[in-house]
Amino acid sequence: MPPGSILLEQTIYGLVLGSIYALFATGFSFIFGSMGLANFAQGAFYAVAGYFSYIMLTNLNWHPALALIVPVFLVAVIGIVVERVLLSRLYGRRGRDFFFGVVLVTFALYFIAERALGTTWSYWPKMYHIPALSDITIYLGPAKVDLLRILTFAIALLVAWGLSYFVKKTKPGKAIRAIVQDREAAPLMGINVATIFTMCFAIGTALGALAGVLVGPIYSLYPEMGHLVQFKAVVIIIIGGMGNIWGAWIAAMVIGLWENLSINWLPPAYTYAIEFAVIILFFIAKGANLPYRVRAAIGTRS
Amino acid sequence: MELGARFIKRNWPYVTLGIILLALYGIFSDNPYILYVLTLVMMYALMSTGVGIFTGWAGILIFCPSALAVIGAYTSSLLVMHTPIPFLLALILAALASAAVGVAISYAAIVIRQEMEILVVTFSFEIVVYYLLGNWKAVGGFLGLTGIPYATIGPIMLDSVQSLYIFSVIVLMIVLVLVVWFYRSRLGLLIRAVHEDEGLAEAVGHNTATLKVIATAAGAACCGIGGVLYAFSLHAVSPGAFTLSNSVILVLIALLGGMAIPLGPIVGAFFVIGIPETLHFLGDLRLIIFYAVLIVVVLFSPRGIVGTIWKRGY
Repeated sequence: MPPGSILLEQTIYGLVLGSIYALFATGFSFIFGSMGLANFAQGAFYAVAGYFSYIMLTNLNWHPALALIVPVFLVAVIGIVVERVLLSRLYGRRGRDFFFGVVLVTFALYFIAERALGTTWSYWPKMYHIPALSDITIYLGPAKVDLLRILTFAIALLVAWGLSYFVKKTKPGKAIRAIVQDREAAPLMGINVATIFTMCFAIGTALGALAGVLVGPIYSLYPEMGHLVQFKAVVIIIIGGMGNIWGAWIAAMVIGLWENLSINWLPPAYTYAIEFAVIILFFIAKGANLPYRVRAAIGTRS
Repeated sequence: MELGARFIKRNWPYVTLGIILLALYGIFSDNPYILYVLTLVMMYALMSTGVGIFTGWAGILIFCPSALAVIGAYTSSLLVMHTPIPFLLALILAALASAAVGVAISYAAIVIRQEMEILVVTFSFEIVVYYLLGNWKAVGGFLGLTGIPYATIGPIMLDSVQSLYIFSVIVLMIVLVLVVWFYRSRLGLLIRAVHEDEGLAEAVGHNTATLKVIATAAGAACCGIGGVLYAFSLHAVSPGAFTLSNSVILVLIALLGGMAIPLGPIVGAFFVIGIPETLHFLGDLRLIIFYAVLIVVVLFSPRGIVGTIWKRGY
């Protein structure tokens, strides 16, 4: 058993990784929950924001605060443009047509972004630091954590809380809930569905961008970075419940913890193999309604 | 004569395809690069046809054709390298192996039911297969199998680009004939009915579960055959030969060409694989432009290329 200090440190780092996943997945979940749109371009916004931040910090020498905030807004604007110009054309389609159209378009966008990033900045990972944040370390018991990591965790927590509040207690949130409940009646109540959709997409991509800006200084940047995270986000929102913000948050934390802790003590191949084998078994068990069957077999009253 | 005329009238697209493929060979028989690209197109066409069958006809979002192809490739290679089993028999056995795995996957899909979850599980299966094969030292780990011998059919040895091309054409045509016959059969109709309205199909008394299993097995066999062609063209196969990105591309091909039509994925493969190759002069930009064009195509023709032209079968 590794020393307690390392275990605690790695647990905290796992929570930080989970925070990144949580931000990304919350954005993805929000878009999917409110618009029914599986935004497979989320990884593109994530990576692009990270690279924007990198450019601002290294080439343009901006203040770290600017470099963290501006890309989020920039990418949100790009998201709005994408939604208005491309995705809105799919809204007329129903069911499978809609889903496949969305998947194709967003995947294509993701590939374009990945290629563009790779062509412009090469496929080698870029590592960079934000001295102001990375150099300040705080001791939580025996564990040493830098400010950026704590900030990331705090932001993920705030976002989850803020988004919940937004959906439950504000007027736009009410509009979103109305649209989800009854897509056809909502416009009759005076809700501008198109505007709400654009807003939701902007928020979702902004969250993905936020994850991207934060992950760069902590881990690294590379063009394909959005790929795996995106896939995990799909898993996260399904496990956490589609559209369930805190559910997604918890699931993200679990995955982040598992990955971080197991990578330290298992060969990396096993980490992923086990992770995905568990996912497969989880969904089979869910589909077969395993808890019910087990209880029925044991004989307890349902 | 009567029968012949009726046959051609009914099957003219497939006959045309065969003629085009042979003609391309005639034109480019001294250009190994183009023949190689075309062979690659046909491999992808085969695998996408499989995708078309389980995703287009039956509507199950099985996103792991790559894993099935890899299984087919490994099975056939191992059989030819370590047993006296001849190549053609190994091909069939590999197709059966892939089909068996497909059956297992379809059972999982039936239990899981939800579309997004099936998608996630099949993607996960891809990754699990990748790491399983990578860690399996006996079959070469991440480096895979190398030195796969040339395929021999009786006295003929497939040792040149030309012979591989012709063989691929023959295999593709045979599979196409089988798929079209399957498509027009009652079983094919029932499988497509499962996608259209599963509840209704069940209510009328058809066992949708069995139909899904059959569809997946057939599709998986196609993917496996594609994998076999790959293994014996490149004479090496590794877990990374076909991965998640390839699966996405395969599904893209099927979607783009028209999922529920036998000819769809083949046309799709020509577009998705063939066109970027011819756009080499654009350098790094070619894939970006290609995907941009893809977006435009998707936005304006939801049924895929062939589907829009023929107005059926998405």
